[in-house]
Amino acid sequence: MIQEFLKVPASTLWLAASQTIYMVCFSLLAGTVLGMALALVMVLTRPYGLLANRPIFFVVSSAVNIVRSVPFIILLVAIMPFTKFVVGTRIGTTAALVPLIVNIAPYLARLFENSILEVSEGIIEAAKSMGATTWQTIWHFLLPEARASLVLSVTTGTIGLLGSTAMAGVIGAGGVGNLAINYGYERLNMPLMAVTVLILVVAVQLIQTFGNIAAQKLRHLS
Amino acid sequence: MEEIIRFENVDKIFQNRKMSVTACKNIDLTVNKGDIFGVLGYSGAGKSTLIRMINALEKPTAGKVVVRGRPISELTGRELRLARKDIAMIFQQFNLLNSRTVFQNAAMPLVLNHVPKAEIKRRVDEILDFVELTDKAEAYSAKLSGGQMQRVGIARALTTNPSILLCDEPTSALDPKTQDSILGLLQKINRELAVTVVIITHQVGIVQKICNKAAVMENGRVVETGEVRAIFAKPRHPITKVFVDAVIDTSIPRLVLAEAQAARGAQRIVSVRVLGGNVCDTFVPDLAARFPVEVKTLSLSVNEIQEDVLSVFNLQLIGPEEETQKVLSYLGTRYDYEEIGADWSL
Repeated sequence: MIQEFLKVPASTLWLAASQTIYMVCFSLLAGTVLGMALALVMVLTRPYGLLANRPIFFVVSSAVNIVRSVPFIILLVAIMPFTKFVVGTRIGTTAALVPLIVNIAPYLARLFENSILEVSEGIIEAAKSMGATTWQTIWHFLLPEARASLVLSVTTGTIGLLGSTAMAGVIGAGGVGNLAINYGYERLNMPLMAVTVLILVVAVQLIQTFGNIAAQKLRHLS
Repeated sequence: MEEIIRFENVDKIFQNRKMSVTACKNIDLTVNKGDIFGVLGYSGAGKSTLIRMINALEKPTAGKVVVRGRPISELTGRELRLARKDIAMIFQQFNLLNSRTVFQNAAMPLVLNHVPKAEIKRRVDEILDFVELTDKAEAYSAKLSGGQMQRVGIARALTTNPSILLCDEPTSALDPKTQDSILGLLQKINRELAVTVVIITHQVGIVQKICNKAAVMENGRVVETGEVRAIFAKPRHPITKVFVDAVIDTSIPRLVLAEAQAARGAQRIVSVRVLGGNVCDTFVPDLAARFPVEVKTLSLSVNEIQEDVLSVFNLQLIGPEEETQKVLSYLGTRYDYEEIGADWSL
């Protein structure tokens, strides 16, 4: 029945869904790790930071800005040689991971940076006064205090990624967004278009709600 | 007295491209082992910077700070971190980790020192008992009152048995009743655990209640320092007078003064500060017996300072000029006095 209404085989739907989930999950994971690393470098090396270092801060911060200023659709094709170098191919779902990570990591880095900078100076001063090492300050003070905010940052990043995956269809990555364009828009299949959009709306709502609840729990306010 | 902290001609200037601010200037200060040392000053006087130089959160621009015989202002890296573990600090805003329980907050310095779990449990339970927070061990800070949060801060500071406790406005965010309980706790720490305490504050009441020594700061300089009893008995610097007057009532009610000044005949009105024992009943009769002068008490305030009594007598001396002059020179050799309304005859 679903098949008749949407005029595509169920297997196509499932494939698209699994491609999107695969792209979002994998690039989120890698992007979070990379983004956190960049965020910590920026937090530590910024002026008056724990390891204040103007040149490093300038280079990392600028690199983050530059990557973030390239529209994803252009990034997708612009870094194809790099993609080929990393995963051995320029097209397909796995190939899309490279630009997705390159896109999301600096974005998350900025969000994480803001989250960590929200931790009060007093906490850092307390850590210093206890003779904490830089790593201990990060691990026992900054990250635990920022974690609720970090979870919200990841939530925002996840939703951003979901949007980006729709464009990954350009390099043959498939996914729900691609389904909506190829089958829904180009074949004027309105029911399919509407259903995919609805699915994306519901997914975003769920992700955001889940993120909010998790952050609330981590804040220990009640 | 064994010295534990020493400032040697310390300057601290904060400088950026636009301007430079002198936070501390020519600081020479010694804190002895076992002191509860108060640093009194208004905000912007440089006391925050001063206390942060003791654990090298700030480094002097000139001079040096010596803690337990080592120049902490010159230490770096691992040596500095180890030195800081012996100098605990508590804060006006407590600076607790909101994501951690009371127990976990108090345990933090031990965790940083890689102390085994069982040992942490034993030590933290002991210290939470000391600060009377055993029943709150599993609570998060959102559930605590300000006083309880400061107790957690104190517990956290004490877990590693430091020899010095730095207190940055420890009670300024608390209500008066809670302030007293925190001050009592600091005193207990000083006496029972033999911890040297340095407190910076703008609340002169704290200094009066628990400090044995104090320094008064203004515009980055220490303008007066010494035994708290001596400072209260005889404040020299104008800013010290302002602080001391806030807790020691030296005033004469306006009506009483006007009445006294209206009296006929030769007279003087003096304010005398007498430190040492309760002399409420004996001081005036004694004075009257020594000199052929009529001594009237206009007002009197009796205050406790460091387990001693400071009495401020506002007296009216009636008698011939040469006799009242003798009284003044007698007072001058023994006490601190100030003549009030010397212009009464105008």
